[in-house]
Amino acid sequence: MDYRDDEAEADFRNRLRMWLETNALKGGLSSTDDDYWTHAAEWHTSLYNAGWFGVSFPARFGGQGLSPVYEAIVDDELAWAGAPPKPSLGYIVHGMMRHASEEICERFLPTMIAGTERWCQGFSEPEAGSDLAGLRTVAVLEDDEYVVNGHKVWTSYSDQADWCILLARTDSEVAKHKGLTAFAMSMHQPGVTQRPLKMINGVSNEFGELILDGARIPAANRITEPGGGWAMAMTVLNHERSPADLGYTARYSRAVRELERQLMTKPSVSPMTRHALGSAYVHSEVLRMHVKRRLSERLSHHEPGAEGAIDKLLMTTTEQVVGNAARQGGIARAFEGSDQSWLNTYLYSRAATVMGGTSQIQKNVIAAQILKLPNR
Amino acid sequence: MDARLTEEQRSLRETAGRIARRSAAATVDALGDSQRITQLARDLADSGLLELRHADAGPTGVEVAIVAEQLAAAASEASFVGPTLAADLCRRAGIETPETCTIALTTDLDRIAVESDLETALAFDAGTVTHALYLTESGDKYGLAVAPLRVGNATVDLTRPLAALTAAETRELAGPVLTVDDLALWRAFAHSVLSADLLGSARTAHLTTVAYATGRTQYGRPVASFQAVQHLLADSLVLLEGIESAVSYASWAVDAEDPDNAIDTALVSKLYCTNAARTINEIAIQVHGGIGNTWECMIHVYLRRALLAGQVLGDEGTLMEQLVDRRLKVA
Repeated sequence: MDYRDDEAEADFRNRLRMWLETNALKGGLSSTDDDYWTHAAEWHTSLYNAGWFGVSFPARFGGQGLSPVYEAIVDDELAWAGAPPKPSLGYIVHGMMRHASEEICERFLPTMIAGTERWCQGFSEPEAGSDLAGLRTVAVLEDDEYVVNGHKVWTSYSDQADWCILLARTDSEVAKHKGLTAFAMSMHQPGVTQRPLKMINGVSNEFGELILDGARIPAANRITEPGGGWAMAMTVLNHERSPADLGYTARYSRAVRELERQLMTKPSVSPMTRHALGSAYVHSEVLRMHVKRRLSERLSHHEPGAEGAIDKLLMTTTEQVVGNAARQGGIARAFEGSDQSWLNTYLYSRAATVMGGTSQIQKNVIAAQILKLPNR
Repeated sequence: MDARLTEEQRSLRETAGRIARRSAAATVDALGDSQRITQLARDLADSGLLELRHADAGPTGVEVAIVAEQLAAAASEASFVGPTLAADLCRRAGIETPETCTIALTTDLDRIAVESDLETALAFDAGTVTHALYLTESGDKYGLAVAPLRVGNATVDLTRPLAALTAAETRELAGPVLTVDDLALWRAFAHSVLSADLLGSARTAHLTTVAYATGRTQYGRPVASFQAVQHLLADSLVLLEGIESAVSYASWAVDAEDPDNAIDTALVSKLYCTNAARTINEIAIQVHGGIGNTWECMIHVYLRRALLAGQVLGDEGTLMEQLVDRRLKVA
């Protein structure tokens, strides 16, 4: 066991650190405000062009084919530099690589990874939240096109997306999770209407909903075999639940450091705020250690599975402990009107235990699939 | 970077586990059997596991953590953590480790004892050792001395007695060679070993509880089939995984990271593990129901072991203050 960088890893880290000295978008770019989402595309492109995004993705799709541990190096260095986290795309990339044909991967992955075509994820619906397999959006094959009708919600980045990875019902005669198929749906067409959803922290750029009214998808853009949508959704969700793929450790470490800096300038800090700050540091550091251990497990060619539920719970606890420190240490400035960012960090953290599968669903997954507890 | 155990480390884990389980007490009543405890102490000595931190042993933070975890998982009553911390302190002072020796702590267990504390000092993990190490002060440096132990009493932790010292028969081991920085790094090492001890006892409490809930029937079905119970067990597993990651990194960092990072990491690990291990034990008691609150149920043995580990060299309040002071200084 050795957490140290080997020679190549150390070289990579040094080059990244030097690049970040002049290129880190420092300042108020918190991922919890609209300003961040406006600049997200720009950040993705500059990271990718310099060779710091998609480092563990295969070279034939525009990645660099490096071992998964390089992702931890990127996260660490982004956090130290005070830069925004890397784009959260790993889950769609892994889902496609595992379940789509080579043609689909070649068509879509390079531009997705390079950031020249942006993606959103159309899974959840108003009537299919935790019970995702009960989704009602239907795709019907007419000649060589699927015609899609339905309603998607909590569709992150949908206002900027060129493509949507869409989960729709193609067979209503079979068991509910066997009738689903995944598609690459163009967002630029008359049948797709996007509406922003304003969240409790005032952010309106991150979440949206999609009204699909006769949207059309060429049959060639079907990502999975008919009925193969559920398996892909599980892969996507296993990765989406993984802080290693989301790059969120950088976000938490950065928030804690900013809060530390702010509290240092105060003449006195209350014991409760000090304790909240300490807890935030403890949790964000343990999550960082956890990600390193998980990425190392992938060196044994271990594909992430149900343990994503454990990782997600560790991650969301961290997010909310950090959010709580932000509340205790910083929201006074929101009331007097000078700085909303800590209030927004706190409010945003409440969504962590809902999105990507609620904490309660994660615990069901752990009970059934990891602890293998009896169900009756 | 590769956080996986090497083949040698996996083999050490198996060996330590086998030795620990061979002499483990199966029931609360079986604790304190001197024949069994002596056998375990002899097995540990014979296998060289007590020498992992001797002067010429190299960077063995990970190996020490592996053994500490395995012993704690079997509620081992032979001294290991204490003698290993004593050996590490001797190594930093550049001297040989004396025979069967642990460390002496102040009465509140907050720090290692100095001469003036001897009358009230307590030797930690005193089960199968004869002496305890303490510091002698000289200017801004520290030397080392030992005092023999009086008979130990198992108090809170039923597996690891605390013992008073015989202040009249002390022996000096090293002159003033240890700096404040040496002691800070020694404490970081101690926190990483205690974190591993917390991992071991918490893991057994968790596994015992999963097995109990699966076997225990109410309303005609296993209690583990009820969602409310399942969610408690899931919470327990998540905390256990967090502890495991903290122990893995911190036990490596004590030998490999620069001093500031090693100290921060050790504080993070000890704080996280203390809180999470206690919660796992509390969940274990809850899921065991009424029986979990009886003396005969083993869970409180693990809880008590975790309570002591969480107290040694600084409780949560003390360590949190240390950590926040450090963070607000460097931010």
